[in-house]
Amino acid sequence: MPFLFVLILVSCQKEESIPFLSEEFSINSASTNATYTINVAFPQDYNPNTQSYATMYVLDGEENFNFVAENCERISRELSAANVLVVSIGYGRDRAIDYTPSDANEGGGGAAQFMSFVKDELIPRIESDYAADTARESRIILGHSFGGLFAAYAFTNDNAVFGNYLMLSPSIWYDNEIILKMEKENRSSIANRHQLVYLGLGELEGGGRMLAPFQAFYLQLQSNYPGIALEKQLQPHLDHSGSKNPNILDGLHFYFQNR
Amino acid sequence: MKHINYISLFFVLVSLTAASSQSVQIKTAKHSFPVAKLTIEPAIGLNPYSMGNFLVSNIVQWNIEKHLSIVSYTSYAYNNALDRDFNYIRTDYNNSLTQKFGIGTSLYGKRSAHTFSLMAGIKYDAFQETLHNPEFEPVTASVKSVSPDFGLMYNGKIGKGKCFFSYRMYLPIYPYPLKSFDIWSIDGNWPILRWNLEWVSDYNKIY
Repeated sequence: MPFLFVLILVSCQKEESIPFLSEEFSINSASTNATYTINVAFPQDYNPNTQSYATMYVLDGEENFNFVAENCERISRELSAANVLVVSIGYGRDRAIDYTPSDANEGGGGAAQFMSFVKDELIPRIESDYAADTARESRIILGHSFGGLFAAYAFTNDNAVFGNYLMLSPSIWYDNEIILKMEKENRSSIANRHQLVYLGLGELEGGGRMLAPFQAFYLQLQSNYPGIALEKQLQPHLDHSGSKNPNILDGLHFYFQNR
Repeated sequence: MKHINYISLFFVLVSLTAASSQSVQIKTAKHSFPVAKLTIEPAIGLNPYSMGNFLVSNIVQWNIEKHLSIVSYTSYAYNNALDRDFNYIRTDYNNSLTQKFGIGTSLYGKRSAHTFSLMAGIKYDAFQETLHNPEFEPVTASVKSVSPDFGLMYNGKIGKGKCFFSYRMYLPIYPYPLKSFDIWSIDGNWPILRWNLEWVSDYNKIY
């Protein structure tokens, strides 16, 4: 039988990319004892002398930075809205440590230290070195999966830092839904603040852990937060991985339209 | 038009098969795997990635010619079978039904046949979860979804005479198979990375 060589043709669709300027630096964190690579993407019309900008902090930065920065530029142009500074937070410790609120089977519970790093080391550096607006309403956090869990943790436990939360497929199931307990405990002190929350999931995240806690978290926010701008989206036909970028796009649209 | 690439792959396979068929006939005509007009191949299987999705499926393959066939694929999956109560999240049900049709081309060895098919059809997913954490009010949420389902299927048969063992792998290419090869921004459903692998549990008769 003759040898048969089969070339696997691969789908590779390159979308038109929007160039952006960026800077990179590292921070050795005293809070976590880890070093984080930080990238900052600037709006194309960035002018530190005349304007200050909202700042979007992106978790899992190595994976999401380019996509978020390009689409912030594109969507803000489409909507004729002022663009934001996009700050990518690279990995320092394991994300299962930094992004998780408690020590459990699936993670190390380092969210409190990581939050200290973000709040006390990263944000002051960004807001002193760049033309970043220092108001809570001008800070956004975006995270997916454990990153979404950390965004939920920032919402419930340190709500004064960020005013806008893009939580994509958040792991609310973590440690017997501990984030739901944290929300309940802190509700009275944060419920009347104005905040913008986008909750995204993939419609086919049917692994037995994502959908029901996601719905429970959504219902808690919807029922108890009079000042919230809240959006829930299930991306049709997509699972945990496939829904990430479509939810980033929908989350950015929601932010730029409702901030 | 990314699907053009997959269709191109199919035609490449057809071309290569046709090109090799003459020599195959000459060299293995006396001992080649029998070409049946119709095969019916029920199978059980699992998804090797999750190890919790159990499948029952059936392929009906009508060989119009030695190297050209029409294929029907039907499957039922009982998903998430091994982990139905996790962190107070109960899976009430989680099922998938698929019906696809396709066109395929086959290669034949002495004791084996290999069919590559381009498939198209629909997939129905239905699942419901209930959060029953005693600290909160129970919350139930469900999804019922009908999705287009396109993919490439490999169906291998190994055996002797009219009885054979077959296995199959399915590579979904929709929705969102893999939009880019920037490894830092992988954008696609997980099924692109995990194949449905199924083993036929018993011998099949060729009809």
